[in-house]
Amino acid sequence: MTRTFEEVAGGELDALYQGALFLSGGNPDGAERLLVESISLAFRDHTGDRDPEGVQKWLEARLVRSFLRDVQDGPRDLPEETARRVTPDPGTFEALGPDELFSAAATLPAWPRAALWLVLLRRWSYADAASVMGLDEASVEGLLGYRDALLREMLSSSRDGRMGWGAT
Amino acid sequence: MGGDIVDCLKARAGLWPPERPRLVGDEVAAARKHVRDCRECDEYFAQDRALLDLYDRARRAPAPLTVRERVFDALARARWETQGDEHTQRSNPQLRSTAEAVRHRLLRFGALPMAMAAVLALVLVGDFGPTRDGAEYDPDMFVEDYLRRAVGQDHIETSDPAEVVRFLQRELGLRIEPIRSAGLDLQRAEICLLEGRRGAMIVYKQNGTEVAHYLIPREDAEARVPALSGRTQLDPSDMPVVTWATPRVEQALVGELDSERLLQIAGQGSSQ
Repeated sequence: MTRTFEEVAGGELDALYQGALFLSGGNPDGAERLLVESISLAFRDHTGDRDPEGVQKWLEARLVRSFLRDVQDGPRDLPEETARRVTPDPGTFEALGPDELFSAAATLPAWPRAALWLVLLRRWSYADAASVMGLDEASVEGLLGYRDALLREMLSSSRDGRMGWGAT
Repeated sequence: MGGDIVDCLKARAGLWPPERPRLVGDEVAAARKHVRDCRECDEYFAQDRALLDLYDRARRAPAPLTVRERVFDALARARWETQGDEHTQRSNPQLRSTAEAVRHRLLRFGALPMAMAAVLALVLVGDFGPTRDGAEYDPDMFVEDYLRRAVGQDHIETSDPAEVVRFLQRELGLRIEPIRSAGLDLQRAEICLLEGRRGAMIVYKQNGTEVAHYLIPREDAEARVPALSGRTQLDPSDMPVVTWATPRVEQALVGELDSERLLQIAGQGSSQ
């Protein structure tokens, strides 16, 4: 039985909202705007039923495209300072929550934020992420270098560094 | 021991995403060997796994009800617009008239009698408290619900409770079981929009009489036992309405059954 678009989108709404929160740097109003806009646009492109994984990726792609359309600025190259590595102690992440993750995302430029969300958090391949973002794979790989900056910000937002992160 | 940076990047890219099964060719075997021997890559994947676990925990959190409502309102508008002749339909005097719109909806969808909707609306406007005799309620409320139904396809015809559970979970993000009561047959479930709130109506039949069970998510709803509405108490000849609440969900039961039976059904529903 073919599902309506409302059924398709409804099943993905919670997960997409968390993605929108990451992309919006934890701003609920921004996340809501982004979600409404991307789902409305997806509705217009919707042509029929897809397998669950296909639907998920299709909607995630629209979320990122909506986000990047609104945020055309920001660097796409990796600043040298992000190459500084961090090393977490075991168990560090268990003590952190989504708020630290989303706040840390807010400190990153838009493009690396989108790349990190697709590849690191949603497990997209480099090639698929590059295609959605309109970049080449090497550029996506460069943007992923911001991962250390993300981790470092999570460390700093977890109060005085007591979580045991250390720069090496 | 840290490998050189090119090997690290190449190995990580070649094994990405790490959970995905892949054919083990020479390159994959080499990348795996590199990761096994490289402390930095080993740490990288350990951090990656922990970061993913953190995000996956966040992904399981439900979106706020207001967000869900706004998304579905936007979809209703988008569906309306893509039907092509929005202008024609809006300028149609038949649809401009609230009464006509409601009548049209009832004809088209064969829903419960309008009186039932009006009674429920009154209860909603009165915030599930005593009715305000003679109070006017906003006719736009009916138009809104009409539009929602006219442009959406948010209903299922089924006698399978599990299907209704899935439908409500998907549409409203709530896990709610239809009421099980002897002689009460599940007919269908629909999405409704009352006072800007997206909810659901589950329809049952008992001896040929339709009974509607309304569920309206409200963040501030606290558990309350079923009770006849003030309106029904004031005028027993009115169609009876029983209201109650479970945490975060206001509920109402409306139907042309006697009040005692309605209360009994609601009681079974509230204790499920």
